[in-house]
Amino acid sequence: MLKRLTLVTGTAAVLIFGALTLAPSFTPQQDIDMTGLVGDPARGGYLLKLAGCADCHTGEGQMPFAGGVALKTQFGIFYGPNITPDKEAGLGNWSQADFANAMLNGKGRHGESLYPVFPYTSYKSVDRQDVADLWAALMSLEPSATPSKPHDINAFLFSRRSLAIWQILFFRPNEPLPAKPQKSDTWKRGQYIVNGPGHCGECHTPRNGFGARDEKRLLAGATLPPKNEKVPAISTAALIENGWTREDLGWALKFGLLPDGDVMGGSMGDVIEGSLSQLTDEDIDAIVTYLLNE
Amino acid sequence: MSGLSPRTVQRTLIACAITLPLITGASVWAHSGDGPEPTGIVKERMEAMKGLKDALIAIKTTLGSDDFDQQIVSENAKKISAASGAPLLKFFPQGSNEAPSEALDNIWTDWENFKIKAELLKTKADALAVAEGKEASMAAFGEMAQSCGGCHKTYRLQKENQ
Ligand code: HEC
Repeated sequence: MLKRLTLVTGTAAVLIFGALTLAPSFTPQQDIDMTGLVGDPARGGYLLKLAGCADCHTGEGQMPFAGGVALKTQFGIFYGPNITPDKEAGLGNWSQADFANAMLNGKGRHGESLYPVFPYTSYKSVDRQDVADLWAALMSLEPSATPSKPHDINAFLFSRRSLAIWQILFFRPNEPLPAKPQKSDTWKRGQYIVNGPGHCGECHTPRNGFGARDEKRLLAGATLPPKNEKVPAISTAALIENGWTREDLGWALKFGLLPDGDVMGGSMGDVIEGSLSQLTDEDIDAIVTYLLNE
Repeated sequence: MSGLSPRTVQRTLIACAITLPLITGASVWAHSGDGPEPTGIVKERMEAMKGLKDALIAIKTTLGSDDFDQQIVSENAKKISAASGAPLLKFFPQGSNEAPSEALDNIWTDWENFKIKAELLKTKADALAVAEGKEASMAAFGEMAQSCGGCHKTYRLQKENQ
């Protein structure tokens, strides 16, 4: 027991020591070169759906992307912020490069580490042109003056500094997806959607005690707070084992329809409504191709 | 931090990060058993929902096949329409969610909105019944399925989607 206690205290001490002394010097900081990239708001509008941005950034009864959605996690309640072009309440004072830095590096406008509830652990692989398009779409929105709600979390445990440590441990900024040159373009598009903007792995991959994804078990299924919702495994092996065919997966992703005729609800219901049901057939096909590794 | 390379520091921190959750105890996997068999109204309701899903499968099958049959679509859409709205609500008397029901309590605290969801299914099923052609049917079918999911999302306990 004592040994255990010592170990815990020791570990905590190392972490705190690390937090206090090492974090600032190792904060991964890498500017994203966005020169020459001009965004297309129409393409960006589609990407906003693909990336499910409204799920967290459009609160009930709010203007689109004015924030306010409560995300209940085991670490406290986070509120999706206002990302409309309002200068005070939203991103009106950001530049395209600031936005790229948030999406790909997980950093705020002042270089502070962002909370990984904002899924930059997936968005880090988003193509820079897509980032520009998303930015153009956001900046074409109606500005909302509704201020973002402060997060309801333990400010000591989750200081920006401990976040910087978290990022060092669990995050590789602006990391490209594994290159699979022998795969078809459709497969690659699927790989990109699932692991990049679509951020499927954020719910379907299990997490460790620090809330970081266990990348070795990518898409292996997980349990979601706050209701301990079971999220199924969608790795190729699991899908095949559970008898999923190309056709069935297409119906499930586009319409929420399960092979037995039941219709999904739960968090996936939101994803289908806000995102998947609005994608092109080609993109659904790409997701299916990638998931079944065809 | 003299002499410590970033790599070493990173390794140390990773080691700590891995051990900490282990020694503070892994989370317990709570798993409930299969539970009792449904009876009474809960059972009737489940049968009714199964009727809905059979109709849905019939429509999906013809939509996905090469010889698409408009007749099958409209017949089954009419069945769904007839079973939704008020007839669907009859299966949800106050407080009827004893185990193994997946119905949530907010059905009754939120009854007006629940009613809207039941009506919405009827509207969407009616639209599907009069859709013409495969493409239009597909679109109307998608909207109808979303109205099923829209109600489940809010009023039905989420089970594992496998
Ligand atoms: C107005 C809300 C509402 C609508 C609309 C709705 N459902 Fe349901 N459904 C429920 C609720 C609530 C339950 C959980 C009932 C229970 O377990 O007691 C349920 C359960 C089910 C079940 C599981 C039954 C079982 O055996 O446990 C199936 C299958 C189902 N619904 C299919 C559908 C289909 C298909 C549609 C659309 C055609 C649909 N539902 C539309 C509310 C709805």
